[in-house]
Amino acid sequence: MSTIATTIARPKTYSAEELQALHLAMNAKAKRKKMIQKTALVTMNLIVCLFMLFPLLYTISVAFMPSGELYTMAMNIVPKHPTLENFVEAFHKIPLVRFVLNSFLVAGSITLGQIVTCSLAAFAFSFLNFKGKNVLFMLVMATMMVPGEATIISNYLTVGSLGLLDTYIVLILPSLTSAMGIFLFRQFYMTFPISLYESAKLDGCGNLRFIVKILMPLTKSAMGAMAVYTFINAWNMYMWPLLVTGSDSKRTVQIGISMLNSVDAQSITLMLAGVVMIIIPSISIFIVGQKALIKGMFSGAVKG
Amino acid sequence: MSNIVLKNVCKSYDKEHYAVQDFSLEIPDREFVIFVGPSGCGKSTTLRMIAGLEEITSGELWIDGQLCNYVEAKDRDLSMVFQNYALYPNMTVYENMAFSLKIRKQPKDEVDKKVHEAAKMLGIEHLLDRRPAALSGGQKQRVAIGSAIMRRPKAFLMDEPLSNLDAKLRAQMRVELAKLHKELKTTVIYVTHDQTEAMTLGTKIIVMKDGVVQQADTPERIYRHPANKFVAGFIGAPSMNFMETMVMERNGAVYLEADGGITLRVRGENEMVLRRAYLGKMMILGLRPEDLQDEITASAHQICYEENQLKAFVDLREMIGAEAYLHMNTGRNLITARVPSEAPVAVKESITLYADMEKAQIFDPFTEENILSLPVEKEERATA
Repeated sequence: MSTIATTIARPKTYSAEELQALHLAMNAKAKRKKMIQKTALVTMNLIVCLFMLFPLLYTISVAFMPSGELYTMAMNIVPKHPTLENFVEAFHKIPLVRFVLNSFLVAGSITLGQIVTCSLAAFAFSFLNFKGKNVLFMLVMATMMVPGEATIISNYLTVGSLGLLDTYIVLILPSLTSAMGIFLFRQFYMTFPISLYESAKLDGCGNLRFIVKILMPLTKSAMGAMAVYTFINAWNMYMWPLLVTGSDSKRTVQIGISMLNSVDAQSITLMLAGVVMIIIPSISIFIVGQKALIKGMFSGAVKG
Repeated sequence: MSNIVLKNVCKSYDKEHYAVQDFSLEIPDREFVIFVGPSGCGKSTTLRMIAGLEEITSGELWIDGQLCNYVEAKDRDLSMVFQNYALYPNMTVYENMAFSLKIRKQPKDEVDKKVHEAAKMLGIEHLLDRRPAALSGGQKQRVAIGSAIMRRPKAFLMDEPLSNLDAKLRAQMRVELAKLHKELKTTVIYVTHDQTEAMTLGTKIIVMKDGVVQQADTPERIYRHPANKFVAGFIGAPSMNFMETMVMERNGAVYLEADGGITLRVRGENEMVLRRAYLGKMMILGLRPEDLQDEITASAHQICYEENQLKAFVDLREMIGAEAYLHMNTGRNLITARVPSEAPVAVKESITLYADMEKAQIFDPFTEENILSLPVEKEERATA
């Protein structure tokens, strides 16, 4: 410090070595400061991360515990004798593979259906001009305000009277479109340059061709976000499948898992083993799609 | 061949206010028509109505003898170039250009031939495999023009196609557009707010203001004989000087007197018009900056008389290159003159200028119409 002070007061020439030493000393200080900042940030992140992930990590840990280990007074966070027995037993007790396949079929169909219906509806709401467009859009939005529980009984009676109970159709049909999806797509299409649509129109391009050839390829990230969101929601559906399915052959995985619990009271570890297995698809889909999800959610927020 | 006729076309969004009012125009084949005006004057709306992107509220649109008010945009056989290029970002330049032909199900080898032809004409052959994101502004504009000419439509509609380019590129593209028009021999309808583009490109200029056509004429006539004060002020840069003047008769000659001791004599046909009905009235005199000349230029033009001399105080001299703009005041009026840059001018001092009164325009202060009758077109053609 004193050397710097003297330089300011009375300019003095330094030799090359002196200059280098000074340079190193000042550099080291800056480096240390940066290091401390980084360490503090990472530590804080790790702590918060641990907090948020604890339920998930504990679930995984319990899934590997023999059931005897869970029900002791000791605080067993990590299994002392890890075992795969829970997984094997879960497979034996319920037709888990069947459930997973059912869930994939249902969630996949719903995702596909929603992308088609929502993007078409959103196209109409953002590109076409027709009478009552805004009123219609308001109506669609209004359906988002009605909680699903309020309509579930009338929905059940409807599909019951149609004789659709305990089929794949009844699982898929009610979710084939969603106001949320229409809204999401519409917001995305609103940022789409209208002159592209007009140019296509003058080129002689019809609406359907425009959607398939131009709009969809250019809104891939929105579709990705929508697909991930819809798939995970459909995969996690509980109330509706519980109500309308009765046989093992149509049951989805979320309902199937609760069957593990009802057999006997000591089967928490068994159930959690099942849970661990069924969250693998949704987590892996999220990991694959997270880039698209984040890009889709935030695109248009900032010009770029 | 194309012949586009607009008859009393109106556009209103709320049934009260008109964006375009009573627009009538006949566009013969191969004309380069320019719609020009300040923003919000309805020029783009008119273009979009012709294209079929906006509905026509009332009036008729005829293309080649067919009433087109309710014909779909894609069936009008027009193509449009947009300000933001409107290229499909997910397709290569080649696919962009071939798109409209592909939709019309033309054979592949024919499309291929046409794309290469157009690309060659515009000098973008080396870009055919690129996507629009990898192109510069000028290249994008060329591609946009390329996709527009592919179909050989009845007419090209261009909506401020050059306004996203920088000044130098704009000048270059302007020349190319003019060449292209000669080569393609098609009607072009072009919207711009830039009066230089309008003057250099157009064979006919439509000046609009608040949805109403102010004047529709050739560039020369619009410049030399503006129909009203708005057109006079809008076309030309720097814009025309306006001075409130009193029409006086003295010793048998007609003079215009303005603030700051300015007295200018009017001769010839203009004198007759003024003498007939306007003696003793307040009128607005319009003089273009190049018609206010320094002594050297004026003597070269032989207009150095005391009767058209005026004195002004130079506030600022703006050096442009070959010429300089003098911003001056004559008491209440601020005026601009365009003089050769080598002319000796002292800033913050008085200067004597000579007005070329033959080119002066006189406007009615209330209607703002030009009171000098436009020369008959036949006469002008004979003299030209």
